[in-house]
Amino acid sequence: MSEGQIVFENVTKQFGSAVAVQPINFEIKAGEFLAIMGSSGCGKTTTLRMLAGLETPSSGEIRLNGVRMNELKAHERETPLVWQTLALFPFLNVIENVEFGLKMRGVEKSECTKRSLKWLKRMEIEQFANRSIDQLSGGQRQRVALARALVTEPPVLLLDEPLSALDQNLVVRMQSVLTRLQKELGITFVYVTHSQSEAFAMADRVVIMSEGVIEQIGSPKEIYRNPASRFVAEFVGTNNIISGYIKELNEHSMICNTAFGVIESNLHDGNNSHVAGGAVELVISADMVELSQEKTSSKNEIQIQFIAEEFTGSVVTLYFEDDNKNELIVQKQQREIEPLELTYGCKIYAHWDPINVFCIPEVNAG
Amino acid sequence: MIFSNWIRSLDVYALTWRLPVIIWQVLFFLAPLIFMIAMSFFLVKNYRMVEAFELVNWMKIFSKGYFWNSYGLSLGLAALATFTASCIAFPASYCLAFKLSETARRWAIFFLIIPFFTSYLVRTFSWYVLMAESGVVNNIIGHLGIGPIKMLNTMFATNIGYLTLTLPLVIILQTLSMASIDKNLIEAAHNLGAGRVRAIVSVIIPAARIGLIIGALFCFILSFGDFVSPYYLGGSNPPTLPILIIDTTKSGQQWPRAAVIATVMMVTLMLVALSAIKIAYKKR
Repeated sequence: MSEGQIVFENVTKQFGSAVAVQPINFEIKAGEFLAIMGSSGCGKTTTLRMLAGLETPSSGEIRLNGVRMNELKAHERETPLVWQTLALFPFLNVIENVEFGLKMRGVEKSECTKRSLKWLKRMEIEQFANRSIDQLSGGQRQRVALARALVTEPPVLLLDEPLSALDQNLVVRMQSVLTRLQKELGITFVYVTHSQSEAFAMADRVVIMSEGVIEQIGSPKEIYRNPASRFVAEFVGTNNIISGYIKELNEHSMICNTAFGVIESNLHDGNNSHVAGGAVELVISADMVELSQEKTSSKNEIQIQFIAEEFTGSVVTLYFEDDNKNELIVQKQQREIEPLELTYGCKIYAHWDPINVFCIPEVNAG
Repeated sequence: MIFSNWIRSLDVYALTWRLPVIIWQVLFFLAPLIFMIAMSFFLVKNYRMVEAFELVNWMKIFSKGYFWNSYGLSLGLAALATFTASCIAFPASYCLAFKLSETARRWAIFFLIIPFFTSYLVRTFSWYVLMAESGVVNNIIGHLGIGPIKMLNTMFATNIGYLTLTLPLVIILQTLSMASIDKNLIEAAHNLGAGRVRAIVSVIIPAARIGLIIGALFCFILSFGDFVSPYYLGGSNPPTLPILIIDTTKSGQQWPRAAVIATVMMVTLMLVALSAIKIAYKKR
């Protein structure tokens, strides 16, 4: 299988007067697992469908391995898509579904069967070859859809929220199936989702879209720790976003006045546009906040009051307030907070390292 | 014991609501049907029907060559109408289902219902005016130096009449079945390498199979039992089975023999309908 390198150059899409995708520019590297993430209506599915030829870009150019794709009809492209609904043909049985793409390419019948069986075996569903689709479970259907898309050995596989209809435990299983498959095949996967956990768990890089605009492209870690805009900071995970003014600025760090008092932040690469007195928005990931019962006299320490918690298994999300009712969110392992013996209304101390404070670039920078 | 259990298991509430339909069907469908079958064994003496149980009507009808000719003709004409109606309807339905907006489709279906507002007999007579020896069509092509073409009193005219009766219904049924196909399936076909024609053959037709077959079935049933078109447009020569029934009742009050023909038609349609539904809903 060849790898697929994809380039979007100034691609836009309008439906009538409604703009679905503003000019977007990005490259998907060959053999990369790329997730496009955003809430519904952000243009992520339209972007994927333009790649598959199911929508025509209003302007701009899409290239696959250097070849302009715009004029190619959907059925002339090698960009199989796995639908959210899977779109398996109910009037065909499992193996006939998988054979479909080969048959359309004029592959000989015995060869169709041979190659389809190979893929059914690979997806561990060969025993269902002659079953009808409605006799399969959700996870098995997922595997049929993947086999059907991959049987033609395409350079790229497109996935449109394929796991959103599955039970949570099955989602985790299919995630590992997908990542393993992608590593083994070495082809490009473009995965559209609204789920941060899916995107972060599988993707090499994540594209965050909002209202037809790309807000940020980066590795899951970059996006999580260093969001490029307030939108990203609010969209991904649990971040504390704190507005303030720069009080002092030196080579490596800055001191800001905020609602939580004075916060010291390290200056990270690429953020050199700050001036003393300028407005900033600081981002502190909820899991980067340390809690202690006694004052530790560390930098960035504040006293807070425990007001609520959300228990989600091993991780707990804790909500605190300072004396001025400013909210601070903290995420901790359940076993980490047990020694703190938190009770509602109790007062404890929170602090965070300046190295974990990030600064959202100013809006006009994007 | 079993009977009393059965009585107790009856849901009185549901039964109350079903009862009117059951009574209606028994009174106006099942009872006449049983009477018709019974009548096929009666005798006619001195132009009067006499209750009996004789096979003589059945043997008389089945031994007549003209009955089998009419039977074959009726089957053939109905099959032809079914085929032409399905073929003509398909592109129209495809267009209505996939090329029009939801609103336009709703209007189109409304317009397709309008023909049913007027009597089918009236619509047949308008064809009579058009297709007559000195009718509108022959008049027009006469000016061009062609014709006159004999259209009336041919099987062509009969088929036109059948299509007048059935085409709107077939289009409606086909359109509704195609419009309800999951659009993702069609996109998936394109995505997997099927061009427009192959998507129609390998996805749209199989996915709309039930509607296409039910549409064809309705066309067959209506055409097979229709008497107006073969009588007024086809000239009733050679006669189809419905015309044969009328002829039989007129000649010597042979109601029992007409009942034989009607029963044969009933059984034929039942077999056709059952096999059509079986094919339509075939589990794979």
